[in-house]
Amino acid sequence: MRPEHWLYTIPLRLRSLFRRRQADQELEDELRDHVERKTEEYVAKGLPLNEARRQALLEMGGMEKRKEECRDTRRVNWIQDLIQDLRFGLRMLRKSPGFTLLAVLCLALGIGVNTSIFTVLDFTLLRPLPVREPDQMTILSRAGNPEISYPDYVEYRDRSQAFAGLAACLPTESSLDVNDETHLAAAEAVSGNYSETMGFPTTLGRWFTDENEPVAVLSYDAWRRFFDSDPHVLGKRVRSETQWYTVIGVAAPQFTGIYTPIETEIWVPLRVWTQQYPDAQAHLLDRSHPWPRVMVFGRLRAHIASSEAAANLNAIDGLIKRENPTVSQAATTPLTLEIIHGAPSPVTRRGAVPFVTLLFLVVGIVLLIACVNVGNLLLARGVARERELSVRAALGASKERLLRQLLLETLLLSLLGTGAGLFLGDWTNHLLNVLFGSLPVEAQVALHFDLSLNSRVFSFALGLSFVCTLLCGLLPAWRTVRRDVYPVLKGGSAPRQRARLRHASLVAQVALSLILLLSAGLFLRSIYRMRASDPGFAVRNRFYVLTFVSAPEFTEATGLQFYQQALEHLRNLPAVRSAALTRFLPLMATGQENDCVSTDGSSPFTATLGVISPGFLSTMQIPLLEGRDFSVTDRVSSPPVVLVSQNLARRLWPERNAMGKHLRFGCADGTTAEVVGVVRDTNIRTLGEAPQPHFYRPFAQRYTGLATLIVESFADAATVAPSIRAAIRADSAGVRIYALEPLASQVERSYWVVRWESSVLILFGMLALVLAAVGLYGVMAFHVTQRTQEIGLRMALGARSGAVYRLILREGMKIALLGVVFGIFASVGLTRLLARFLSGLNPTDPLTFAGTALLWAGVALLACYLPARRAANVDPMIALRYE
Amino acid sequence: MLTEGSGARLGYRGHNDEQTSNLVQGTLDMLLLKILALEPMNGFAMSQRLKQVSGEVLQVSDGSLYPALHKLEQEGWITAEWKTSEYGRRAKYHSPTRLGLRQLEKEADNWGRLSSAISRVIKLKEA
Repeated sequence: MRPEHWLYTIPLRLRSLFRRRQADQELEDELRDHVERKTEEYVAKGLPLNEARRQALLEMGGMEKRKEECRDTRRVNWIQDLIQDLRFGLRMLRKSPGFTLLAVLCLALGIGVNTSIFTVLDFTLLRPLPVREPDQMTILSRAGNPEISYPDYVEYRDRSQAFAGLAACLPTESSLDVNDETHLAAAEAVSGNYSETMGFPTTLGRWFTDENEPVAVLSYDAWRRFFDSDPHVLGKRVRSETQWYTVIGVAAPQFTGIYTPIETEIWVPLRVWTQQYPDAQAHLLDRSHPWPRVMVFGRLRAHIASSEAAANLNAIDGLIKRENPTVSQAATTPLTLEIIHGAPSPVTRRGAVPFVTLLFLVVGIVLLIACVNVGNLLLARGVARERELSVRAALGASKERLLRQLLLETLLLSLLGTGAGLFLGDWTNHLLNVLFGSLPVEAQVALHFDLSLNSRVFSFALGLSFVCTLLCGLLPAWRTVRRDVYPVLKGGSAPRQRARLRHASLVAQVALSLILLLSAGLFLRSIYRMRASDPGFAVRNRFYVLTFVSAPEFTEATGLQFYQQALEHLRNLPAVRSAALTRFLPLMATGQENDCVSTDGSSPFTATLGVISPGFLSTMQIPLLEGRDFSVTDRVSSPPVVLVSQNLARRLWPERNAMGKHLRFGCADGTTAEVVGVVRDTNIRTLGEAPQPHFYRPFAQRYTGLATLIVESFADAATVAPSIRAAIRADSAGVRIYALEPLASQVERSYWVVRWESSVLILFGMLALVLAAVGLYGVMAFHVTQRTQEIGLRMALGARSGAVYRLILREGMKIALLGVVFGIFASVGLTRLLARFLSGLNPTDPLTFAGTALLWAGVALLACYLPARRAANVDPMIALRYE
Repeated sequence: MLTEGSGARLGYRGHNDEQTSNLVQGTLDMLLLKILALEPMNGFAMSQRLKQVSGEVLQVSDGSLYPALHKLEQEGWITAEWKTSEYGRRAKYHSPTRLGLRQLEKEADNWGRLSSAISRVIKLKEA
């Protein structure tokens, strides 16, 4: 359109909108003036006044009609109509506060939980990194694996023209000694250009740029926790693993590192970090060595697409391959480049997808149930409003206009629901944060979920309110509008429409909520089963202590000696019955050690390996079936020995006795050891798993500085913990103690996934149950109201109130039970998908199915009871007089 | 419609009426603009003038006139002003805007082309 055109028209439109009354008055004056003149003209021609006036009006063809036509030319009618409809809608909602409250509440619940889960999705998969120009930040990976060899990284960094910077980062756990206390901290060993590439500020001090200087930057949270936000922290020294660092900076609070949801607490220079491990430096520079590898982050140059940059990197990969023909990793799989959204690590993102999907499925069902509820309420209300709507239709309101009115009212409800839902969602987020906070991937490593509402979440909620409007408003509005108006106007009510739609939606509701409840039930059952299951070792009254000794204070010999003495001291404590050592705890979330095993001539397979001290079996009450336990005489210098699990023994020597046989272990270069005993199978990786091939080696023959001490004591944790610490520290202050906990906590932690998911499912399953029950109650109650006359008639004709009661109850229960049956059929198919979360429980566990069905039947009975009782109490006189 | 004249029908029946062709609608716009270009006047005077100049051939009903005038106003082609007339009564006087005059020129051109084309067709003789 032309600007000059607007110059004339915009003031006119504004005038039509905001000074409508004046514009209308002028229109009125204009037309009236015309008619008056016309009348005068006819009078002058000799017609009587009345006739003249009639003629003039006739020629105008209906004043109101012409006025409307003139108004139509203003092109702002739709806005006025909309405002009018909005006002009317608000008035209607205010007029029935009960209906409004119930509908808004249902929608708020549905939208609230969805918003909440969307926040989780946003955090894990959508949110940009809190750095300068985050849409330039990319991460490199090969087939989803972000680990890149350091020499490759150096080549990319030096040769690629597509990046403003490429930074390397090695996420790791490390001890952090602050003021004589050891914490387990999440650390990142990073390249010198890390801060410059990422572009995020520090709160205090500066970032390091030299990879060889022993300095560190603390996270804001670590600074707060370990140093009480001490402003003089700069220049203080902290120790991570064996290296001392000088603190030179504190990161800005919003940046929690690249390993979200694990919060990085300390950043150290990569080269300094590798120096503390004997071979790490050499391995870092070795292309083919699998450890240590780095994650590589690239900041794209302006105006370069990530696809171009990826092509550039793969070209460099080709060069590397040509120059180093024996390279194992480079260019076997092409590099991919992703702009970072949500959690930076592709591994974390991939891991989050099934969770988020499950959560969205669950809350989607909750929303659906809520929408069906509101839809049913609207249908019922449509019936109650049929007289009003019929009158409007008879006065000329078009179906479209009425439809628009009804949808607008639903939209108002949805928007109110969204507003309330956002409040609710914020609250649910706190709840989720509590649940997430208890996600103990490992003791002492802080997880951080920032589930705050932001513009993406708001847009999602708003979008959801429109979806809800259509979902719950369209069908009822259409049905209400489509109805024939004449019977209503004649004074009766419209012929009672078939309730098929309402019943179908109820059945669906019951079925959906049943599916959720059933899934929750399955999770509960599997937790119960896990809790009751016997892992094959004693858990009660056992404590574990995660300890670490390393160079320069300890060598292998002194380390071994230290642990032996520590165990002695522990055993001498009065509260302690026994003590032993293992390298990794069974059921540890971070995994177990694996090795290849075989006998002479057999093909090797993978078995888990436990490294233990003498006495471990008795402390853990793992029965020795044959042979002997390890003893102090099994040393580095003595012939290698192993203990094998029953399962491994059976697999390797199916027919013969395993005792005295020789086991070959080690994947690349094997060692042969004599089997000195067979022990009973225990759970190694997960609770309730099938027996695994497993073997044990003596700690003395496979020493590492990292070990877990197991202490059996009948005292409670609070009293025994200080003396355990003291006993371990008795001979050396150089030992690091990471965690001291009851073993039961570790076992519980091993099934946190199931526990966490079941809490969520139970929470939302209950919500769905309540919503569906409210829906059932609402529809039955409405049903009774609508049939009051019929019931009155029946009673007047001799039906007893008991019969009426049973009639209503039967109708309600028929719907509910149909829903239960459908729900069960659907569940049989659907719960199969949950099998991977259920750790071995049959996904069609009959007990859970029966229990849930019974629970729903009980709830349905309750929901139908009240309307049925009301029906039974209908007074036939009143009911019939009402007509 | 009760008041439609029996001569050539130029009824402006609102934009919803599918029977009114663009040609006819545009023609009414053009006529009104032309009359106003000669002399600003009010609606009543216009209805008189239309009848007068077209020799009662073109009968624009009163009912059609006002919506048409309003449409021209909302398009920005004419402006309206309340003035006191020679007989001392207040009336709404319309006058064309610059935009309206340009529109008139355009439509007059179109009309000229169209009518000469039609006359040529009508005057064709069998060869």
